[in-house]
Formats: sequence, C-alpha cells, structure tokens
Amino acid sequence: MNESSSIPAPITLSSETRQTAPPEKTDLPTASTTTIEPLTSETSTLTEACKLAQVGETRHQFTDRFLQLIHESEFEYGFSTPADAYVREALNEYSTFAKDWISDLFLKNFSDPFITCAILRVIAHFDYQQMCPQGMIMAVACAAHKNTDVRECCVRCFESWENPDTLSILRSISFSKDWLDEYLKGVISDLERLTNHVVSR
Amino acid sequence: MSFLVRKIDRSKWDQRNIIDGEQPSADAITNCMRTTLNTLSLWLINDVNEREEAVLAIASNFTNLAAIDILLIDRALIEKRKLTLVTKPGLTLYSDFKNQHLNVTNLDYPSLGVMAEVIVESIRQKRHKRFRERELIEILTNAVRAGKVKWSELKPDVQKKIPQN
Repeated sequence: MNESSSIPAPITLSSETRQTAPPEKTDLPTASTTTIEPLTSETSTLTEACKLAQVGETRHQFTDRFLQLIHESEFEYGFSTPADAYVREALNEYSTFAKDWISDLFLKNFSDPFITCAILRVIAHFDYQQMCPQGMIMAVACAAHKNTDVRECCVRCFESWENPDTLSILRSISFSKDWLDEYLKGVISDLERLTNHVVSR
Repeated sequence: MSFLVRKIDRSKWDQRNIIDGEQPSADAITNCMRTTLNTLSLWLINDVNEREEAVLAIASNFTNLAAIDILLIDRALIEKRKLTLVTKPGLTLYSDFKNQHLNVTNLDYPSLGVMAEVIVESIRQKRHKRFRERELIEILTNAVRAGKVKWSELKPDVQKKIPQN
C-alpha cells in the first residue's frame, strides 16, 4: 500500500463540510483546501500528491493555531480554555486527522512539560471514545515522564475519561511521589467502584 | 476553629521542598495566588466539617469537572500577620454560601509574599486535601438533590456528569 492511498479522501470531505460552514465562525484552517481546484484532468498520482499537500498544509495551520492557543490560555483545573473549543471544532471537522495532528504535536513536544501538560489537559475534557486510541496512547506515554505535572496529567486524563477498560493500564503504573501515587490509587478505586456498580445493575 | 479555604494546585507547591524550608517556586505563586484587583479570594468555614460546603461553592462554578486540591488556612494565621480580610459575597451557584466569602485585600509585592508564607505553613500543617472528580460528582449530585444548587445553572460539561434528579 502506498502512502497516498492510506488517506481516505480527506480534502473532498473537508471541502464539502466547509462549504456549509461560515468561515468567520471558526478560525480553523480553510484557505488552502478551498482555493485549490480539483485536478480532474491530471493523473491520479498528481491528484493524490495534491491532496497530501493540502492535508499537510491544513495540519500545519491547525498545529500552529493550537500551539498559539496553548500559549495564550490560562490553564486552571475546573475550567475550559479556548484551546478546548478549537480542538472540539477540529474533531468535528477532521475527526481522526485532528487526533493524529494532536498526536504529532504531542510527540514533537514531549520534552516540553508545559505543552505536554496542556495537550493532556485539553484531551482530558473529551469523551474517552472521542479521543480513543490516540488520547489513551498519549496519556500512557506520560506515565513515565520525568516531570511530576505531566505524570499527574496522565492520571487526570484516565480519571476524567472514567473508562473501566483502562483499569489494567492504571494498575500497571506506580509513582514514587506519595501524593501522586495516592491519587492514582484513588482513581483506580473510583473506577473499580464504577465497574462494580455497572456489573451489579 | 474557623478556616479559610482556597483552591491550590498541589503539584506547583511540590516543585520545591517547602516542607524542609525551601522557598516556593514561582509557578506556585503565579498559578495559585493569582490576584484580581490586588485581592485573593477565600471561603470561610466554621470548622473542618464544613469543608465540603466550601468545595461545593468552588466546584459549582466549574465549566469542567477536574480533581482539585483544597487548602484549609487557619484564620488566625492570616490575622496574626496583619493581612486585611474583607467580607464580600463570592461568585458561586451555591447561593446560601455566597456570604461565606472573604477577600485578602490590598495585596502588594511584600504582602503577597506573606500570604505565600501562610499557604506554606498550612501545607506544612497538612491541611490540604485532594478532591477527586468522583468526589466532586458526589458533592454536586447531593447538592442538586438537596436543592443547594440548581442543576439547570451548572455548566453544560458539568451537567453531563451530574444526574438531573
């Protein structure tokens, strides 16, 4: 399978979606994907190459804006930020692509605790199914991060998603910091109670 | 014994070994002591058993539920350091608790440092507690059932996790 065939016509889908949405309503990237005409008379290879370029450009615009919002936002537990709203729009419009872009951004910035925490704090605000599997993979990766804030955000994600399927993952984690380990155990206990509650109903 | 309650971010105060006398990190000060008009918001409880009332006052305003760290500050610690406390109705959906709110006022660079010392002292006294998301859900659910807060006034993402009754 070549690389281009693994992308399921994202640009066609995105353009159609965008035609129905007023551009001023969102600051999600639009320009590059709406101004390029379909290359119907060209070879399919060229068309696919063009689509790839469009996807790349859209991703670039998304990650730039998302990073900007992360730096501008004041993160406080209990409150959402403009970055949440932006990711929500992106997930609605680009679905899996948006999750992949967030994952890419996450990997590129894994050594930066501020950005890593911000990404985890944002994705924790979405449903488990909505972020699965990329969200879960990102959170798991952070369990071993050397920064305490990042490790805490890992637990916070699983706590917020409240999915008993993640219990086996959480039971495989432990932390040397007492308060963090105590928090982890509390979350495990909460999830176990949820599981028992579901089973007993 | 009355306490003043404030939400803090536990991990920020853990960046330095404040228990053994190190100075708190700048992150702790800038994240947990963000002032508005040179004031810092606190909730008043008459004893430790009222702690969840203060938690309800805080959490009912959330746009998203998340675990929070709550610190109980002995009122005498603040008064002893000559910080000014002024009663002012607080912003909360728990309307019966609105008047249990005070501000530390007239804060400036040195007095903010004094307030930081008060927080450090309270953490040393182990007066902090984490309320996990499940515990907040329980507190809010009970409050809705008891009519302390109206479900319809909770923010949409919070409503999703709290039964309407």
